[in-house]
Amino acid sequence: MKQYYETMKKIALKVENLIKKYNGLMAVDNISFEVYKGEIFGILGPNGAGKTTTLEIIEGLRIATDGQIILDNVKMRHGIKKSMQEKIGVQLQSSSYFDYLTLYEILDLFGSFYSRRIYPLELLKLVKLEERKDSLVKNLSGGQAQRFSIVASIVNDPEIVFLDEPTTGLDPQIRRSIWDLIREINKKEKTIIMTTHYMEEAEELCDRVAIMDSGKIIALDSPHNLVNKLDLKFTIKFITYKKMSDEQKRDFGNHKLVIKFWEEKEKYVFRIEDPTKINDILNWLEKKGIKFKNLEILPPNLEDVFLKLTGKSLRE
Amino acid sequence: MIKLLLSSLKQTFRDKGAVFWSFVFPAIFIIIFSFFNFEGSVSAHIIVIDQANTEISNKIIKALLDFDGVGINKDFSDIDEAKIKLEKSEKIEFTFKNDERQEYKEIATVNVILLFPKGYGDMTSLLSTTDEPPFKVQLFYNQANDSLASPSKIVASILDHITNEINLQIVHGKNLFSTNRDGISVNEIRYYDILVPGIIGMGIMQAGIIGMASTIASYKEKRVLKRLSATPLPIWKFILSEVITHLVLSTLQVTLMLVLAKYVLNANIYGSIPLIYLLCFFGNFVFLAIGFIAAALSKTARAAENLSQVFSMPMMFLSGVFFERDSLPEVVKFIANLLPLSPLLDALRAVSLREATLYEVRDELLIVLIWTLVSFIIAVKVFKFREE
Repeated sequence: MKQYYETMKKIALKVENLIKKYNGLMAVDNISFEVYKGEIFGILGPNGAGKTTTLEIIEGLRIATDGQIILDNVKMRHGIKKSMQEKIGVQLQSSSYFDYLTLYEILDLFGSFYSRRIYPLELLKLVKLEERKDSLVKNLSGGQAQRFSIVASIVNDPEIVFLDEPTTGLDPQIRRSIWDLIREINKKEKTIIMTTHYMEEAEELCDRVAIMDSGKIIALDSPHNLVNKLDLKFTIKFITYKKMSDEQKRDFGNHKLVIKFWEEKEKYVFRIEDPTKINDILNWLEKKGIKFKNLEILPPNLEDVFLKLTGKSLRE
Repeated sequence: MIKLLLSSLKQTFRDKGAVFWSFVFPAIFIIIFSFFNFEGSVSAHIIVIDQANTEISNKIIKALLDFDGVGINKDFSDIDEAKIKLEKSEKIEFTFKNDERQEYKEIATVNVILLFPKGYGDMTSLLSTTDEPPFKVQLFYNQANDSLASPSKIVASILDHITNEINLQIVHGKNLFSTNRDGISVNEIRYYDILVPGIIGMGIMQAGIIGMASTIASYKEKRVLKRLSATPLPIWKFILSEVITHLVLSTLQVTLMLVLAKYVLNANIYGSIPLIYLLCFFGNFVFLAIGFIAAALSKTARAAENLSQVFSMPMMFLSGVFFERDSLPEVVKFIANLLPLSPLLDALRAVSLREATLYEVRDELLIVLIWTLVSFIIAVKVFKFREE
């Protein structure tokens, strides 16, 4: 993060007015953004928002209907040129490698496609797979295979690494280990551009996040600013020892500080604008003789940002 | 590029499917065919009835006995009696000659009767002025067994062979002899000799179509092609290394087939071996292109394999892998002649059986070349390396 502020404003990649039409349908609808050197840039959005299409156009895998990409002061219309692929590293969503080559052989082969390269054992060490250098990809666990796929994207020691939904389908523990790996790669002064549909991932990992929906970027800022800029509410959850009566619930819902009130299983949940006013609410509960426990105060997050901006949930 | 090629070779040999289609599958064919004892039916067990008993007829009978697998019985003088033996496929005693030219006797089934009529080889009849060859023998044989390599054809060809020599010796080429099985010159060709070029051609086709289709489709399905196109490697280099790998594999396959043909089937290849390799080399491309088309039209490797079976099965049966196309009905034959495997098999057989030269098989090669171009153009048109 510090590093990001130091090198900030040096632009690693610029995308201008990118458009991709499929049979009249706008998959990418005139988007523009800049990615700074050394940052982890996230593109967050639900499935079908156009995240992968955007990434694949930049990677040179698809041709844009219009727009241009600027990388290292080279302007390229419709997507990047083959020769510029030297400078980028790519990890594709659910792509696999050769079935009959070992991890070492795959990294060695992919390295041979580039003029600049990191040696296979060094890469395998980074993802703690050096012991398995002679294994085939199919014999790896899901987490190992994903770590391998990510490390294979930096064989050419690229300036920019593209990761397309690097943790989709992995369980939470493995997801955390992938986050660590991404941070580690980022520390090696590599700019990372990644897509995700997990808001925790974007919040946890990304320096800046572009929120994408229906082919458009609807917001772009650091996760913190995104949340702060919008007038978002805190969510508070608690459990009572004795169930609240209908009358108590009605009164609580009508409290002037409570914006919205509902139940989630045994929990009572409500939204509040100003979290410093929480004491007023707690006093009110005490006065009514409602004993509570497990009080949770949840700050607004990107999920709320997305909900506020689009009126729909990320998970849909 | 070298690394890419080595990787591709390494993968191919580690891939059991590829090894199966290239080596095991055609080898199984050869081995299965070796279980059928075509060799046995090829040997001719002849009842000779020599009503002429001239110097020439005696000479011919002696010469016949010198051929491998030819057994002779001279115990019959009545043609009808001999015919009954033939009709009932009875076993009687024949005289054979072994490799050391020693005669030995063996019980075997009669399959041909050779009749020298009175006056055969009688030089006085040469004075007649008819164009008909004066000396005519009669062959009787079981019609059901009238394949290309049937004993009667063997005998007819041997007779032609012997009488040709005698012709040259006595009348400087004037044709004195004929058999009523006339015309068919089969030069000691046995079924295996016909089968081997067929199986070699089939092997090239199967490995080319199925091999290429399943490899490329699986790379497509697993997005390996996409991953590669995200690197600076030009995709043609990748395809080229796949093609070269296949050519290496195919050359090994042809070698294996030739070795098995020689040592398991004892088949004869009369023509030039380098020319056979050359034909196989050129034959590969059309099937690789067809395999590529199958890969382009399929979403998964499995679908591509199925589709390549659809492409290769009709050729396997219609182009004449196991028999020559002559026996097909006219309409079917017309279609069969158009298939790309057909000219390749024709060329391979022409070289292998009739010692044809490259120049003599130029028409076949031209058709193969046209097919290659056509399928190559289609392959390029239908295959999408880049997504929309």
